[in-house]
Amino acid sequence: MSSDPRDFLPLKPVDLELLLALAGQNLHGYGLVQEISEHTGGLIVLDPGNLYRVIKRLLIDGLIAESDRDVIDNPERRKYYRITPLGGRVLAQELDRLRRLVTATSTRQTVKRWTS
Amino acid sequence: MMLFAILLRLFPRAFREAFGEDMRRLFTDQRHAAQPRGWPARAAFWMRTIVGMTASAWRERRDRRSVGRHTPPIVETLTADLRLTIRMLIARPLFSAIVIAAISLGVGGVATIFSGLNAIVLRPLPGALDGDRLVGIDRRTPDFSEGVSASVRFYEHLGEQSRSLSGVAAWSRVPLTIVVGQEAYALSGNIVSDNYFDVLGVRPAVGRFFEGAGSNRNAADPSIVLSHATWIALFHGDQSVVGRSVAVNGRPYRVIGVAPAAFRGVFTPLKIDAWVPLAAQPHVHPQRDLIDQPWLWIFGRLEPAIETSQARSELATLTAGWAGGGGDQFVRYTSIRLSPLTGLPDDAREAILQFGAVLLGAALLVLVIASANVSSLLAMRATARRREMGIRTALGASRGRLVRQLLTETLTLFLAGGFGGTLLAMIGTAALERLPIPADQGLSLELSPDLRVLLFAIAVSLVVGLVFGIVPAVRSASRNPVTLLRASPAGGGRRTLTTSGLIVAQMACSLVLLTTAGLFIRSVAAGAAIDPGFDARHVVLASFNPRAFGYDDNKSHAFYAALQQRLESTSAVEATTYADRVPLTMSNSGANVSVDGAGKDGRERMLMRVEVGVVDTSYFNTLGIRLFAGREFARTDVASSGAVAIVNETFVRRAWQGISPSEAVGRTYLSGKRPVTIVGVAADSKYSTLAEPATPFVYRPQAQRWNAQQTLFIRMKGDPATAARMVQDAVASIDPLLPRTTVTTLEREASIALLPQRVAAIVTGVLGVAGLVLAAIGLYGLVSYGVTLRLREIGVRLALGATNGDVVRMVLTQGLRLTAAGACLGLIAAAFATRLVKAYLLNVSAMDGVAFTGAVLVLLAVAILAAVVPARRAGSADPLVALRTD
Repeated sequence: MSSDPRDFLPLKPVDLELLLALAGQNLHGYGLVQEISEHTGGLIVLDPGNLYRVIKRLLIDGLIAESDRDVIDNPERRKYYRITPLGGRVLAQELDRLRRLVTATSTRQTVKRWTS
Repeated sequence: MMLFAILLRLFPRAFREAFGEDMRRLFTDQRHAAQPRGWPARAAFWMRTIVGMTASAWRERRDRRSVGRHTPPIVETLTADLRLTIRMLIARPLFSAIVIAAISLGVGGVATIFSGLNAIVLRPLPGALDGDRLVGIDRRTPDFSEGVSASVRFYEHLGEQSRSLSGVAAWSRVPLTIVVGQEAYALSGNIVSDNYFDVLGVRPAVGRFFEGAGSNRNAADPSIVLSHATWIALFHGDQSVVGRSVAVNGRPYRVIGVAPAAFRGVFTPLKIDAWVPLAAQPHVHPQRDLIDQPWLWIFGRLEPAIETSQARSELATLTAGWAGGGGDQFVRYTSIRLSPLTGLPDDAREAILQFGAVLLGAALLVLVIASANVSSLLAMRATARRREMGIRTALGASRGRLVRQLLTETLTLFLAGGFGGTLLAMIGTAALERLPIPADQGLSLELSPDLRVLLFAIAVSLVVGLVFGIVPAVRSASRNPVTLLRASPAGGGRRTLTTSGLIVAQMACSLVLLTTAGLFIRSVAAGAAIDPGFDARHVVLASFNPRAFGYDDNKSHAFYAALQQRLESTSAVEATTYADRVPLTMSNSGANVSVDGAGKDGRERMLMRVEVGVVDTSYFNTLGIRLFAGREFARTDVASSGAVAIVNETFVRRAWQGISPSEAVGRTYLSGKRPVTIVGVAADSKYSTLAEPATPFVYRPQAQRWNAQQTLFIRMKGDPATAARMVQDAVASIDPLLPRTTVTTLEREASIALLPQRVAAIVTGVLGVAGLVLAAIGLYGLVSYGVTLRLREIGVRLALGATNGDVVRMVLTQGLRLTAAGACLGLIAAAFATRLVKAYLLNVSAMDGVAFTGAVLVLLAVAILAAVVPARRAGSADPLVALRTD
């Protein structure tokens, strides 16, 4: 398992969305699906199989982990997930990469040419 | 939830254990969320879940495989086997092609016959909904030996009383004439109960079908439904034809709908052009009151969850009650037979099944020959691959593993052959459909293979592949690696022995096939040589049903008289007559008569079953049937004069032993209570079939037994080919609005009498040739292989002074010894096999010497040809080259 955030870049869109969702709060499966769906305007709606495949991958890579949340708050004992410090760094790096991509002069020119 | 559980099972176990519970929760949440948002959201949810879960499961499993953990070994070996097999087969394209071609040929024959059987008698009615819930209802005597059609009242009785059938429908055939524009067309129609299409579950392609549940017979506005083919042919597929009025049998009918193209009626081999409702019966069948006459076929649809046996016992009870309660005069017919409604009447179905079984047996023989060929090819190749097997064994491959690999190869080849065979069956059935069947144009066959045939072909090839592939596979994998690796061509001895056995079997099978084909060919020849007792040469026929023209009886009489007059005034015509049946077309109509003065002492009254034909004046003259005594019918034999008849020799012989034909003239017999005077005695002839025994026959004059439907017989002086035009012109000059008459020759019509023999001769002949060629290839292969193996020995012999001729003789003898052994076995097998076809032979013994001798000679000739090529190659070998070969 690598600990250099750069090794994980670029992130797959789904991974990025999932890490983004977990960056704000710890979530369980359904919460994640909803959050991602809202955030992408319904573009990404995950089915159980897909979601847990992504979760499994991110767990193995150590970008997320199961959170140990209060039982009182979680009577159904659903598994909640949290972002790990490594996950946070990867996310930050990826967002930075994307920001530079979006704000680059050549990108802006392209956008100007193809929109309108 | 069930579905989700199944979807979950698709995932690897480890994944399920880690995330299954959470996935289930997520699924439930998502489902609840989708629930209130209407069905599009729910559909999208299910779609996404099913597709997504399946895809993820597959990816998950694939990922794990690529890591190389825990693949079930059986799957892994199978994929490996298959991959290796395909590589092997592609690497040896010629070998693969030959093997696949041989199997295709064998399977093709079987699949063709099966396809034909499937189309005619096995598959449920094409075009009908849930065809396997439809049953043909057949009223029979308790021992099922005799049957009677249904009357309208009997049909209504069953329809009203039955609880086990959800619907009962009735139909019969009716000739129709339809006028479109200025042109009249003769159609073969069905007259059907209103619920006919409902019970069948057929939906109209255009418009609607008949409405009403029962057999309403009094509709004022008759309607007609067209077949899809008629709609295309006569109306060019014009949708607006629905609602239009057309003239049918001289009366306006309204076109209400078009049947779908797939639907071909209840008896599929009969072409059907249109349907009219039972309500049209007084118009299209006006001859008599048909309410109590048996003239309908009936069928029904089983209620859900009702078994055929339950329905049968209910219907039998209803029928017994009906017959016992004086429902009609057919009191003996108290039972019911139900049969699947698959497109043929029950009796025909059985006959065709039996006939088909014979042909299928012949086709199976070809398959056995082909498979034996493939088996020896595989064995030879196994020898060539001994080094490979040895290496693999030495490297630790288990024997089971090798057998499995070899079997996979063989089965793959056979599987390909199964597909090839189905392709061949498509060609074969197309050829069968085009067989020149001389019956009326009302016949249309559709035999092409369907999915069932494909599955059958594949199943057959796999079974045969297993049977013929397992021995070579086990054999080649069983050797000790050391022996295997010491690859020398010698030591193929045991293998050659097996192959020799296979060759003997092939030769035997070929001989059985050839003998059978020979018997059928002899049968056709013998049948053609039977003197039918009439002279069919130069006689042409045309059949008319003036009722279908909308004519009444007076108009029909006038039409027939005018037509005869016009034709007889032509110089090309020698004589004309009318009759109600055409000899040798399997038509029959019998009656019981009683004869006084029978028996030795001449005092008994005897009841006699006779065949009856109604004929016009100069019938015997026109057909060239001899009159031994008395006269032909005359114009003076009319309805008002005394009833007269002409009988045949057998009638006289049975009725009054030992009197001469001229003594019989003037005697009478009783038809019912009415005396009929015999005015002439005719020579016996064949009436219904060529194989029939001598039958007492009674001819009655047309004027005394009027039937509007008649066949015109014309004896031509000149070329019969000109007759068609002549008759059509004559008909058109009488009434231009009549459909074009179909004119054929008596020879052609009567040739249907030999149809089963002819079909059998063609089919077994083709199969016989295929089998013979395959067997010859097998023999050729074995002999050449033997030559290769013995090349060194041959070299030694040649070096020691043997002549080329000696070598050729030696190799030939080897091949012919096998052929002789096969021929002996084959003769014994054929003696048994031909018994099975005895019923289809005409005037030929099942042990016919000519057929047996001919088959042996053909087999020997072909075997010599197959063996002589490699033998000559051996003979012309250069001893130096031969000795150097290793």
